[in-house]
Amino acid sequence: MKKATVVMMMAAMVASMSGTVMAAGDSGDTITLTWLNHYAEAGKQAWIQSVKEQFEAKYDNVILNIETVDADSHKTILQTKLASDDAPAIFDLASNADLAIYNESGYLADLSDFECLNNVDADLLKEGMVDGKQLGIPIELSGYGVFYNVDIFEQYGLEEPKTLSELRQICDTLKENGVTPFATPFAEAWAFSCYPRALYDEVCWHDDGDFWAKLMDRSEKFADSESFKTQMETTWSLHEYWNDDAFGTSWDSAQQLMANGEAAMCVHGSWAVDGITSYNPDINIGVFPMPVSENPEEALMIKEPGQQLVLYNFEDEATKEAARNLYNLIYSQDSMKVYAEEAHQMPSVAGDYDMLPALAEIMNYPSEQSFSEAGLTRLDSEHQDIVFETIMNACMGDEFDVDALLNDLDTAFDNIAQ
Amino acid sequence: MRKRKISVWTIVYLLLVFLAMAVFILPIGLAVLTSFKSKPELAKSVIGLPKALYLKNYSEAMIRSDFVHSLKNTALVVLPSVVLIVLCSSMSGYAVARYAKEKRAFRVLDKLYLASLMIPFQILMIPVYKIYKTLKMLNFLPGMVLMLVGTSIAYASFLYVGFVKSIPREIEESAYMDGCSEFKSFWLITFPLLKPISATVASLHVMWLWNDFNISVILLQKEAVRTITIKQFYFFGQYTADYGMAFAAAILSMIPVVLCFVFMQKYIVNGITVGAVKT
Repeated sequence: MKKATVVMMMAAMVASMSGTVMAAGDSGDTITLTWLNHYAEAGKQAWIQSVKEQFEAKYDNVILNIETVDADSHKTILQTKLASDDAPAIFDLASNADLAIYNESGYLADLSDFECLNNVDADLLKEGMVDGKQLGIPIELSGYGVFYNVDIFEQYGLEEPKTLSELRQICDTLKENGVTPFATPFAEAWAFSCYPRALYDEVCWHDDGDFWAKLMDRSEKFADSESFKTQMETTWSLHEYWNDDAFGTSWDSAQQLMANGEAAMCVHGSWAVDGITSYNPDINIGVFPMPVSENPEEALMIKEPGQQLVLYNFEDEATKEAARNLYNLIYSQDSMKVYAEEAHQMPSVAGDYDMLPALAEIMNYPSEQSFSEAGLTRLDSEHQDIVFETIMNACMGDEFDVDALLNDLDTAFDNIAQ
Repeated sequence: MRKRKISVWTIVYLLLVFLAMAVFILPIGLAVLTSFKSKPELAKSVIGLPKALYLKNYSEAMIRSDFVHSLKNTALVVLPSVVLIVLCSSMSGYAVARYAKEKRAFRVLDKLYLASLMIPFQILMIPVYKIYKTLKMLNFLPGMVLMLVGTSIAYASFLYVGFVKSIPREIEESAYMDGCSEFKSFWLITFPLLKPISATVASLHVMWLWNDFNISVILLQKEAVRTITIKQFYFFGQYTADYGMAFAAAILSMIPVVLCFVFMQKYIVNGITVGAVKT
């Protein structure tokens, strides 16, 4: 028995020494492009694999090495690789601010002469521009608004509201019938953030594209912004319609509340559609812009560019050429069709796709009733975290002091500025 | 026949024991339940029993995580690592325990081991990655074994030091008198006596290394060499999570570790307590 154990252990040692894969490098004329991503979802994986298969079939001198990591580790691994001179050829960044940071370190290549730019929504491309250079290309569009259960609305004869008072009437009707008006996943700060931002982005940021920039450079103060104050009061005024234990409800629980029909609406991002549908494939989800006032024209569908693919700043022309071919394939309608239909996303390339109805509605929402955040100066991650956490803390208690909230935000922003 | 009286305190004691058992078993029970539920069923109730066993979670989880291959990779990394940890740290623990009083170098080594326990892996991440890249050992399972052994030896040696001190020197001295060399006496006399602590070190490290995520995610980035813990994160997207499949994969991957723990638990407890008391 002892001998058998020793032999087994030694065999495992020998096997681990021999039966392994060494790091792949370029051999001869073969070019290896590494695509580091955090698209672990099955639909997105299917899209990436289809890109890989098509690309390697078309260009037999290029190997596309896919490295998928979980979303939480993505940034750490990317920065470790960059710091260790082992940069991936292609990776994704979330926002224009991220592009500027990585560009300062000289990591990003200029994609301005890439042919695939012609395929991408021109408005979304603004988000990938830094100092006149196209450094990133969004692969998708995200929408922020109110996602609702169409069948519940029909059951109680409700119509999509355009004003705050209409929204309140709907909430009252739902409450009277035992349906929770809003599923509120406030246990997670990122999920909470979708709720107030739908309100203040539609008013404050829409009216002044430099709204956040002025607050960050302290040329303006939260306490002086009447519109921001009003939206914060609106945020709190709807709290009676939140689900029980809102700050103990996770995003998964909120999706389940929606999927079961226990809650009728959720102020969130467009990924909610796929998430809720995965729990209840028969659910009929609709979407409308979050009403912000008694003026119907102020209710706007928020459209935000999603993840952007960037290219590492290689000096080698052959590698850049291979990457150009890969970009052309990724941003083709054929590839984006798979992205739209398998991954249930809103691709940045327009086309005839068989999408989930609510996503198609956001994508085709009239531009005059939409607010595109592409290319505007947004909060950097440090300021953004403070805004979300401070509003979240203010909403946790039984009472809401809007002036104290605004002062807290100003104090925190002042501290960063100093 | 006399009936044995059961006191009120015995009943209270038993109730508390069962309560404690329930507290520990509940999360595992929920994990098992979840692994047999479809997503719509999960949406209806997290704690409710499934109407039927939804085995698709298991089959799908095995396919998506390339289960057999990633299990093989985990085994190829963990088993050699544990063997090397036991061999190396038993020797270093012995040396520190026997010679720390006389030789400063061993005292320094002992302190170095302790100090290294305080360094979180996040600090080592970039240097380790750079070294492994230079040595072309990224995505290389023996390289991973080396890293796991290197990061585990300090604690394992620390456990051995305490235990070796409890073994009388006279046993080794009698071996020397019979002509045994120091090296031989260690392997023939002392090492067999270290069986309880060796079992403790081995079983604890099987558990820890099996579940390692931080080192694997940095050093093993190619699909072909990924271990099972890395593959499990594929069930968690940026905004969505597939708990049914995630728990199915987790339960499958837990089986070897649970078996290891079941067979070795008496040694684990024995080894830790002996080492702790005698240190």
